[in-house]
Amino acid sequence: MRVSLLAAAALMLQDVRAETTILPQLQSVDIFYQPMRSLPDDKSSLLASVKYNVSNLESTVLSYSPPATSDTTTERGTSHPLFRISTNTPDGSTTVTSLSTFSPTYTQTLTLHLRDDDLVLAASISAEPLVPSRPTPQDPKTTLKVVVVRPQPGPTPKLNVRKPVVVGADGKEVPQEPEAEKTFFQKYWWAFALVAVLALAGGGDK
Amino acid sequence: MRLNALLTLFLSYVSSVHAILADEAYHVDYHHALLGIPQAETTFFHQPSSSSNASLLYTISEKAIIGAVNPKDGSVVWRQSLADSLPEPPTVVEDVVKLPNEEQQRALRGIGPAKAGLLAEEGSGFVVSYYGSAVSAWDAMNGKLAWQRFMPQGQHVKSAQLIPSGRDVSSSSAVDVVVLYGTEGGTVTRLDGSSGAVVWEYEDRSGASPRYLASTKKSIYYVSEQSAVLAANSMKIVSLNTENGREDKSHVLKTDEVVTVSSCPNVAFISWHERSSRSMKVNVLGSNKVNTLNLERSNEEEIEAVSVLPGCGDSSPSHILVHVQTRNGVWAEVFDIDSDSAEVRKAYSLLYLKGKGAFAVSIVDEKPHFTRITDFEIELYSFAPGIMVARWPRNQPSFGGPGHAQAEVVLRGQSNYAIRISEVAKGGEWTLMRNGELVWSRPEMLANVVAAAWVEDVSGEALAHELDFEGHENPLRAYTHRLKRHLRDLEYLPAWLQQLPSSATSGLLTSKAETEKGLLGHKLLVVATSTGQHVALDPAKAGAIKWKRLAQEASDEARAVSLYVHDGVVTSYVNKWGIMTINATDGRDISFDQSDAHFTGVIIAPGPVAPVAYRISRDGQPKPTAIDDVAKDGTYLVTRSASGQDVQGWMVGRSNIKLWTFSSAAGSRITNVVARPAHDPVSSIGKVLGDRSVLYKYLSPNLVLITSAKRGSFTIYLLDSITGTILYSATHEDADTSSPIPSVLSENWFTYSFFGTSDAKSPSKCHQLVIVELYESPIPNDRGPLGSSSANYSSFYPGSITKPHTITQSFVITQSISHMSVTQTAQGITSRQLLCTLPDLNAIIAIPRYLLDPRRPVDRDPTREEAEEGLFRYSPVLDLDPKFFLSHSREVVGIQKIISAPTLLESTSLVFGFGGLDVFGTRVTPSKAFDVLGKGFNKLALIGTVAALGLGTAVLAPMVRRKAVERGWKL
Repeated sequence: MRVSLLAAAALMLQDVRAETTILPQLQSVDIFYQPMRSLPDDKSSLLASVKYNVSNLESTVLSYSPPATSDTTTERGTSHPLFRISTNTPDGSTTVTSLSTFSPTYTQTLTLHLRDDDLVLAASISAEPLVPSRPTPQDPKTTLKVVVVRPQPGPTPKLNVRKPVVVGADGKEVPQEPEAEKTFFQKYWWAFALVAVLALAGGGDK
Repeated sequence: MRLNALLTLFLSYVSSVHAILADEAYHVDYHHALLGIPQAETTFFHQPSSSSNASLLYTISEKAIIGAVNPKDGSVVWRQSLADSLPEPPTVVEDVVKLPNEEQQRALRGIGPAKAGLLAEEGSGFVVSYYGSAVSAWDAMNGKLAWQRFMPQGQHVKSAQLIPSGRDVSSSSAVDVVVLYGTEGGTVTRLDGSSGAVVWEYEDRSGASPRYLASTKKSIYYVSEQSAVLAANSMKIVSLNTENGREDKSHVLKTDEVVTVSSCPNVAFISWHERSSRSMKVNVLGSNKVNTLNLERSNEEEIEAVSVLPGCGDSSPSHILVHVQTRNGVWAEVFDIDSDSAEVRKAYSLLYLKGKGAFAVSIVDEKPHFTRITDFEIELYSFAPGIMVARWPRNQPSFGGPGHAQAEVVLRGQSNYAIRISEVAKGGEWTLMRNGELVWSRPEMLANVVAAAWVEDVSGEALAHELDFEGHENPLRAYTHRLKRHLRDLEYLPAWLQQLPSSATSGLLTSKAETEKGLLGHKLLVVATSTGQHVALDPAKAGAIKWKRLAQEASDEARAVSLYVHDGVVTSYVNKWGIMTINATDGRDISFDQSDAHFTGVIIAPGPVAPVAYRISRDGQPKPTAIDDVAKDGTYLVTRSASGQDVQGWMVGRSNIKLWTFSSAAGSRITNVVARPAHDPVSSIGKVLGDRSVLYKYLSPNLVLITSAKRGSFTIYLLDSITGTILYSATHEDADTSSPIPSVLSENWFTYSFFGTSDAKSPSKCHQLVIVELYESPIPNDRGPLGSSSANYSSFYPGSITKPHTITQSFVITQSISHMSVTQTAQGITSRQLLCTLPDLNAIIAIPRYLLDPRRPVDRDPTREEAEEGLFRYSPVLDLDPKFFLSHSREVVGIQKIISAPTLLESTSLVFGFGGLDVFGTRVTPSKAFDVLGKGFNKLALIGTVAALGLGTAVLAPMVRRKAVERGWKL
């Protein structure tokens, strides 16, 4: 009995440990939108709530509620009401998008740029025209595509483009054997062959 | 022979893109090698060698540059930076990224501003300087460092004196250096003049703050200020034995605000007075007697400044000249010092004169002579009778009034005086006058240039306006307008006909330089300094000063932020002072507006009528100059807050709206924000590949490149400046973020440079130059999503913001780069060059853009198609070819910014560098001067040949005809 209790406790402990190692890899972020020409104390509304994995940059949309759009606003040349996109990250950045981005004729992509501390530096939303053949899904959560981006490592000089130098016991460079030179015959066998053929072919004429 | 010709042909092809060739050096470029504005106490004439009578002018400037100038022509004999050699402060604040900011660096050094001093003794062969914690001896002839000694714990040197060493002159130096340093309780050290080794040390453990050091032939005086708790404003004077540094005697004096200590070979004295006081007290060091000197005059003007100039004769009694400055005028009082009785008596006074003036003391035949320099004349007073012995009129006033001056007087015969005066004007110009005539002038104020702008020649614009009018009116009115214009032009016809022959001959004989000037356009360069001067330089005349203008009332804190030139009017925005407008052609004032003069930057935005200036406040908010003077609706600005925490995007117009914010994370700072240059024409929207397909360039006018740095790493972000969307980001770990990370953005590419690890796996570090090219799509002949919507484009259309396809490459460079810029030409057809400042080499280089092509094949030779594109094999190290050096053999010190401007010739771009000390200008032809005839072209020879051929034809034609006729008759 006691043994089994202990085993259960050990199992629980193991579970806890497993959770503590996994937990920091999962982060969640809330994305808000706010009309541009609004008063500063206007409350911003929740656009989406996203959970993302820090290590493999996979994400799941927990909720998505885009602002309501009418079809007229998507026409080109009309003025677009602008929205400010912000996050709940402290010292976070904001971006701008227009209402027409949320039109149902487009698919939206939410790009989350991560900082060094794995929080979201900035969220920006972009749209692409919907592929017409695809049936319009009912759940708005599935229409939002989320891309989590981390600054890529900057380019580095491509060193060691030369073959490594082989150094002998005395520290001097051992000259690498160049590819064995072909002999004269190896190179020009076809000329000999040609001459031979010509000689043989022309030999009978007397 | 033929092989040789082939080789030269091949070489000329290889070097077809170049920066500067030997025959262009010193012809196309100009350079003002500057020292900074010389300081009064550290500027003097001195004979560097005892074998010759010739003297040089030595100075330490406000920029802490020590230098020697040839008094004959004003050229720099040698110069050295005193600040460079100072050791780095031991502790650096951990979390904050160190900025290349003067104030912060000073704060880090911790021990208050460094004080500079310069000492020289005739015949010693070296000059001794102190600055910060270092005492250095420099060879007086060539400026080589003889020795340098740093004070312990980086304590600052307060004062230093030279004393006779008393040793054998043949084996060691004739003088030793006595140095005072420390903050609480000073230390006096005698250093051996030939090696800098310590001879003896005297330590004051009382905790009083050390102030001054004075010396005579007999003893050394150490002056320290007692702590304020015990006795305010009281100075303790300790006399020390020169041989062993032992304390002889001491006394305490009660002094006032302004204290001066002066040394002569036979007497040293301390003088003090209250600010704007009408009397002054003097004590001869070593005695207790305090003399009160009266500075009264009948005229009841308030005294603004009093300065003391000692006149030391080697054996004769010493004298003091007290220079008194009031609001409207200036005079001087001369006093005798009796070294035996320690008494000071008034000798006489030099006349009160209205206006500004400077005084100088010089010794002629052991007798002091006093020189007064005003804007109009130079007066020389002999001491003994106290009368004027010579006067010379000045041929031109000094720039902003006389500041301080040094005089060298020579007496030939009985009363034939000759005088050389080195004068530093209040406006920062350093001049030398020989008997009142200007010999040379050095524009030292240019060492403080903070902003520069090009001025276009506006003379042709009147005609352009008229032609524009004719193009937009109805045909009849346009025709009458044109007829009237031609009739008006007729009045210039006789004059034009008159000068036709002369212009024809001069056109035949003009030098290449003259013709080039006409082709390059008549551009002027206007610069603004941090001290309130505005100067126009003529790039066509080797950077000669065309006009200069001093803003008199500007306070010391005033800093020019930006210059803007429009229609021949220069508008200068000076923080904490105001906005002034100046005529660009002659430098005359037009207007001055002092309202709301606090801003950190200025952005010029297009307005409905004329361009509108927006001032940027410390938090990054743009404010229009006037309420109804606003930019066109739909104008977007990007600003940065002064703290470096965020970059903001604004939409300005009738109402200002903050669109987006880019914030740096905690612990990091935005160190650099760059956008494409205002004038950045693109000649081709795509890049033609070897197989005739096209890679389309990602050409967005709304790009902004942000560098966000923290300790040990930095990240580059490319943003769309309308929506704030991040288009590209890259991080470099293990990079040195304490030195600047310059970046530049142009066309469809950007570069940046830093010092960091070459590889994620290896710990070795190097200077790197990274190039990133942006394309619309990775696939040739594909315009990507932009292709269909390129006609009428808005960043707010859904789907209009697309991420660019980037091709990157990194190169190892051998030098650090502190600033980057890019050449600009009129149409952008000419290939571009990357202009870089190399602070370690004191040089400016131009790297051809084709070398930085990121598509250069790595680890293999280019294919035939790639070779056709001009690509060649990648090499990780970018060699800096000597031909890249625009500054060639010149030492161009302290350039912080490079600007470029197009000329009338597409091939040619003007370049100007300024900032820390020197100014340098040149012109570059990145794709060679393809639209100008070369130097080998000889107009005269061509016309001569044509004329000779014509003459030959005229002579031979009748002969040939006659011959043909005769032949016809013969048949």
